[in-house]
Amino acid sequence: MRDNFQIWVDAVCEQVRFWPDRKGIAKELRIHYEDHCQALERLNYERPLAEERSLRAMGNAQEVGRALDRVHKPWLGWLWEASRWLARCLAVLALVTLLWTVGWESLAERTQGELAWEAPPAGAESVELEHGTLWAAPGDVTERDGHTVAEVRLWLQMRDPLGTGGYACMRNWMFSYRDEQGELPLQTRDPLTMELTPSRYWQNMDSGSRGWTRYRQTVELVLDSPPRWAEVSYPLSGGDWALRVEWEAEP
Amino acid sequence: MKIDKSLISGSTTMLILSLLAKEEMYGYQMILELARRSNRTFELKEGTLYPILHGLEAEQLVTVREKEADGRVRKYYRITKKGLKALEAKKEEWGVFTEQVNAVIHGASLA
Repeated sequence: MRDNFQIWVDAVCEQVRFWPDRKGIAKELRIHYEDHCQALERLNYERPLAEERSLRAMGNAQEVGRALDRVHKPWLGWLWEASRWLARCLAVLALVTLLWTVGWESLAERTQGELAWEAPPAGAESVELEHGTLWAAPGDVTERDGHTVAEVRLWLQMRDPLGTGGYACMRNWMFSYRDEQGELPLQTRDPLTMELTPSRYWQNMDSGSRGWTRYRQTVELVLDSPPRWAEVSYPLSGGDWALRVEWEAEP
Repeated sequence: MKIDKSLISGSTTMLILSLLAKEEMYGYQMILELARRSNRTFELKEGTLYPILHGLEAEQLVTVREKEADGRVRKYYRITKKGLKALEAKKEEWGVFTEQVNAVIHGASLA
């Protein structure tokens, strides 16, 4: 059975044409009414009297309802609801389009690849190769076992896949390193350590239409004295290029 | 002394914004505070407070948030920067209005 307040609040809400707002209005009015009842009960009013006084204080239901209806305009409310639904639909459509064109696995792979990729520093020298771009930048210089260990950092981003089973891998690339004293012979570089971090994303591998494979490599050059600069080249590639990395002089 | 309802109705927006200028409040709290500050002169029909509050919200003069207190989730109204500006404008308007009303009823003349 509806209590007197419920009858009153229903009469209010009947006046509000934009029905999605009615529930919220009714809830707010009820909380107000309960607050008033509770305040009167604290003044030792009996519950029925507290309810009667509180309800009377709320005013005329039709007047309150009509005033609320003027604020909760149906066209504005529906426009707001429509815009919210439109925004949701557009978001879903964008997601579906993205998954349709890229594919879920590719998207996950790409995101993983992007997160794993640390971009080369702004000042890194670069060269455009046939299938990608190579960057080089100086790394840390440390002393170890009476030698100077200088890091050369390399980044390679492949634009094109190199065919089935032929992923480019920097480990197999025969980079050549030289400094002011000339080419650093292999034994000078020994022990040469390489840390390789690949991240791949390819879609439609067969057609090779889009994607990338990225490698990050750190090469440690073991030298007799702190280096000022070194050049990285790849003579076997047939290209006449060299990337120069320069270390800042010790203060 | 009870005041004619029509005298109050034109200034309720200003009164409510004034209440909210210092702190956020919920509906019943505003009714109590209004009665207290006016020495029970301004006693709104409590239901009529909500169309005013919802109108202020639509005009972005106040914002609303739900907060739980004493086991009840109430809507708390807080004045916005736009609301504070509107309050200042209304106070100025009110000052001019009362000045002119006083001038008329006390027989003063600018001439």
